[in-house]
Amino acid sequence: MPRQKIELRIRRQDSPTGSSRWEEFSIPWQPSMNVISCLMEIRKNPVTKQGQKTTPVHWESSCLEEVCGACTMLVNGKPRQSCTALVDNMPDGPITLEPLTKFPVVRDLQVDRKPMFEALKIVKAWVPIDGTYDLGPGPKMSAADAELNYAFSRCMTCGCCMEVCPQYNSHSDFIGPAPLAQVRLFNAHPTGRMNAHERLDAIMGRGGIVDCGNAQNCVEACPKEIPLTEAFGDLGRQTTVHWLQSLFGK
Amino acid sequence: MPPRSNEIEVRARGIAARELLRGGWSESFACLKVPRGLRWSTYKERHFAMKVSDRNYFALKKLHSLTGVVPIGLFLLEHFFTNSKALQGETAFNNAAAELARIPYVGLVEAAGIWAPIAFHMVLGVLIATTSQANLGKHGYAKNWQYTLQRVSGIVLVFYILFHTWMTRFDANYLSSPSAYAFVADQLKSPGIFAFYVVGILSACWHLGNGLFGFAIHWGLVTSRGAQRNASRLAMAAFIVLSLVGINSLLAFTGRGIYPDLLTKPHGAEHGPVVYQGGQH
Repeated sequence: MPRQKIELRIRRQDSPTGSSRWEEFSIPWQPSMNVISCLMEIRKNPVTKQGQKTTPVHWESSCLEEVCGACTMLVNGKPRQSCTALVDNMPDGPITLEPLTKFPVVRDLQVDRKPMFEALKIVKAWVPIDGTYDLGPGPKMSAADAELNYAFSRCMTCGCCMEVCPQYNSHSDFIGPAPLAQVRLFNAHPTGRMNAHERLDAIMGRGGIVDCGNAQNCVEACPKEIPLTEAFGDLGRQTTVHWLQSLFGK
Repeated sequence: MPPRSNEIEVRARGIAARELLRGGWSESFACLKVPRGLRWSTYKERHFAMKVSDRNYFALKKLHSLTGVVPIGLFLLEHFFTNSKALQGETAFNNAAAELARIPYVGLVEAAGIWAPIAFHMVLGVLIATTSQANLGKHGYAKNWQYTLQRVSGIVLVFYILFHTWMTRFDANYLSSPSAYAFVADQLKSPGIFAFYVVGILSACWHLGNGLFGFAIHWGLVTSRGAQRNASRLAMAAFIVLSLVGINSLLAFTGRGIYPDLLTKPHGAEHGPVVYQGGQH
């Protein structure tokens, strides 16, 4: 039986440096609601369950089909995209919404995921092909390789893996699972492979692959089912070989 | 403030990565909570106080992983082997211990093969543990349990190894005791010490067993999901077998060790229990 009312507990924060507080809301149930439509309902009439007037809850979203990662937040304590968090699939009782804890809060449920994008720059998560003349077509990729690489290319830098990783926090240098998995992707690309050593150099320092602690929470939390832990085994092998080659010569 | 020497070195080597990382990192975490009564800048200074170059950092972490298996893991096997001699009685154990003391260059072997690697693994291990933010309460996955227990067992082992080494290597009462077996057996009569030994042995077995799983991924011996699953199963099997052997050898000192006939009869079983003759000590 569908619920009559939807109860929400939301962690609010007015500014990046402000302190946070909980607010409760109660809104009427409608068919096929997701967390975002709940937030839109609150926005229509921003009054708490206790009848107090408040500001509309701030959140971030874009694609609404779980491919952009912008609306990622903690729904009932688990990091996930709020667009695919369907109310009818959730257990009874209030729905708890919190911003991700591993990224700085901008306001309410919106966080700044800049550290992840900076990390992608560090690991050179791209294939450099810019130049002054046409380089021609690159080498071909087998269908099997393409299929495996596709799995890694589904990463939308949503931050779920970073949120659950015990090694990614304010007192560790670790750059986190998502950027490392992109090294695995671009080092497997037939053209990207030509710069593999640059990416390996980038992840062989502090905060790189050796700071992974194998808690493997990342692969459990990833909404795109990216085989992150396979990437770390593979990167362990690549960096080990690269290290030994630099010690003893190729 | 002038940049620290390592920052200059990093720039000189043309690695902008650290700079970017540090900039993006500290800025983005500036508004996160730091321990009460500690300003963010103080916190950052304290944390980043010890610096090594990136490539040395990689080598140190590799060495940390390697020393856990060789020589420390090998030493644990040898240690359990010798301890299991206690199942054959006081004389057998004392002879085995005396035999070890007669290894050529024993002081060097002990210092370079056991103490130095354990001290290195211990110090770096504690530093690694401090970079963790355990979240077992929020995300109770099996591998997260393994990860957390790896750190907990490591910290337990720091205290256990210090106590155990003191008691059975440096304590004057031990050194002057005519029988190593009798000394240990006497110590284990205290329930507190016996319990601490059980916890210590289980921690050591877990840390090595589960450590083998981490080692396999860290060095890239296993990459696919299936291979990692198998590595994890083997690691758990190693933990169980090591624990049984370890605890049994502990029980041997209390006279309650299990020594099934099956295990005593590879050959020459008709001669009965092995009689030890030699071993002046």
